[in-house]
Amino acid sequence: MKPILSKADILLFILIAVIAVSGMILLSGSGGAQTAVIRQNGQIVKEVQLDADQSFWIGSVRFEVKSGSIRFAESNCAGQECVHAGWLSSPGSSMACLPNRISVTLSGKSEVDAIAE
Amino acid sequence: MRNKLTPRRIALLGALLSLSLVLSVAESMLGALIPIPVPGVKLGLANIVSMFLLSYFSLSAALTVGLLRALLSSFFAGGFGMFFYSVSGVIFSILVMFAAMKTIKPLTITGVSVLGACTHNFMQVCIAVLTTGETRLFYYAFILLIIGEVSGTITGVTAHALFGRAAGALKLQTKQ
Amino acid sequence: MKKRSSVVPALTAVLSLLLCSCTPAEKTSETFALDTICTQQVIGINADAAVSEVNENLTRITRELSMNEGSYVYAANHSAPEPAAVSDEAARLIAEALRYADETDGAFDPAIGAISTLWDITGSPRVPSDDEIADALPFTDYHNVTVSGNAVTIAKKGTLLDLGGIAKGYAADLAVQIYQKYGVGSAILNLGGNVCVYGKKTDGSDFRIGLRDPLGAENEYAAIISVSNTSVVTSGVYERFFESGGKTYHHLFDPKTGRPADNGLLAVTVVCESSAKADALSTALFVMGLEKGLVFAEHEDGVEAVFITDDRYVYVTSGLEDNIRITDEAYTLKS
Repeated sequence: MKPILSKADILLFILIAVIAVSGMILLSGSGGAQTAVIRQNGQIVKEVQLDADQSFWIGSVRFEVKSGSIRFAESNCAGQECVHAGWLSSPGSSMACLPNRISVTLSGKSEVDAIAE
Repeated sequence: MRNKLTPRRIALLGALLSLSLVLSVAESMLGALIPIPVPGVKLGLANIVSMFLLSYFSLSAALTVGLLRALLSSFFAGGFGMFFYSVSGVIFSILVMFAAMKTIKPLTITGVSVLGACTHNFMQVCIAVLTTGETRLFYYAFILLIIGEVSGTITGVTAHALFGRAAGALKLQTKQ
Repeated sequence: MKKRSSVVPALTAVLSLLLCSCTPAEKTSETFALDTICTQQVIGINADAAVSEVNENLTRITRELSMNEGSYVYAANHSAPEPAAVSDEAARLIAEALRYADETDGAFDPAIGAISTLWDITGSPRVPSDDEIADALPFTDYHNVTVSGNAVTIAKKGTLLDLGGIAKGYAADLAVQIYQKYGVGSAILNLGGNVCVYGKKTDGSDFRIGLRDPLGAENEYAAIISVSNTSVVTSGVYERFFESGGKTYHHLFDPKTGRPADNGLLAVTVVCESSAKADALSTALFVMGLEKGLVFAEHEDGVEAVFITDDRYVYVTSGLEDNIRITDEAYTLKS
């Protein structure tokens, strides 16, 4: 009866495992940090890595990045709903300031494909 | 061709196609439980049929059944979007398994199976990255390699246990 | 024989690799239309073309069917009591809106303009006086609007057509036709919260759509439903509201009272293949209230609905009982 596993098999197994583990270690740096994509009028105007705290203006809106999250810090809109919405941190989630036509979307996949609201 | 395709054996191919379809659909449902955002990723259980065909029939038999499996399973899933994602993984892994069986003699069926499962999954990620442009998906490639090793081993061990007897029962020549 | 057996596998391999090379593309796009953010995620060989055409139509519909000057709706509103000539499309949509008004006994009323402008909820919101509301009510009646061919006639001047409660739905239905035309495999469209899914996801599974938690932040959902080839539209108190004198006023007006519907509901979600119908009914069912709304939805073919009440209960029509999954423990599913 032929053996179930030969030396060649085990070698292959180890080789693939090594590739897999080293791949995961190599990529875990960039894989962890999230990116926020900011659009105005549907066009991408800025992509931000959320691993560094920062603050910047896009038109009449000021964004703030802190501890891996982002929020609308200041806005010239009447309703201020975007500012009141608070921090955005879940992968795949998004927020917008309609009067300014500015939206921010986080990278990654969320548990849902969309939220009906 | 190691075994000639008599009408009876063509019927056998049909039965094997159905088997691979059932396995494919079953593991899709299992896969839905684990949220991995790469389309078409599966455990690779249906590969067992491809391996059987490669061992006892020919590359073209394996490719044909594999192609049909991809076609039909995406059809059942309701749309051809799936087809392109699954066909590349299936074809590529069959070709790789064939090459391995021919050139890396010391590899047993388990090793071939692991290779097949891993290449199938890796290919899925490549296609996903190509179509979405999100290179971050490569992160999942390596997790999938581990998954491929595990499922490939399971499939391989099963194949090792079953193939000899199945071939005998079906009166197929078992000369490798 | 030997030669033949090596050609076939080679051919199959080449053919398969060629097939693999024409993989479908995935195209994501965001645009500002219909007064909101519209996003599309389309997968198919002609994804690019499909996405562009949908965006063009979104812009066109915004221009032609909003209440702003230059639109057909504006023309109809300002020609009253004379008829206004509108496009085939506008005529069809207005007729459809009037039909839903009839079917829901006025709970959905496209002639709500006189009331909505009174409250000015999108501009400088205010609480109108009882007299102002009483004066506006006679003008809030869809019976004042008739469509004949391409002519829309508003019999009573001062009645204002507002297609805001159905336009997004119509735009989504149009997008579905475009996806069909381009042989799209899978797509998800989100028009300011109106969700429309085409086909299933590329792995063959249904789309998971979260239902916004009416008491939570914008990205929080109370439950998830799994759907394919349909639309999911929600009307909720959190969408547009303002506070005055310690009370909160939302924008889902009851056309019969001229005031925001106050019946204990926080949000109503409608699931229906026709996005326009889902859009209109989500407003109508909210205005009807839980009991009437639930009965109406159960009797309506091809319509499923979810009702969230202010005491944190979730009611669903029978078709969604096994589908819905409550993800926020603050809410309880009532069967």
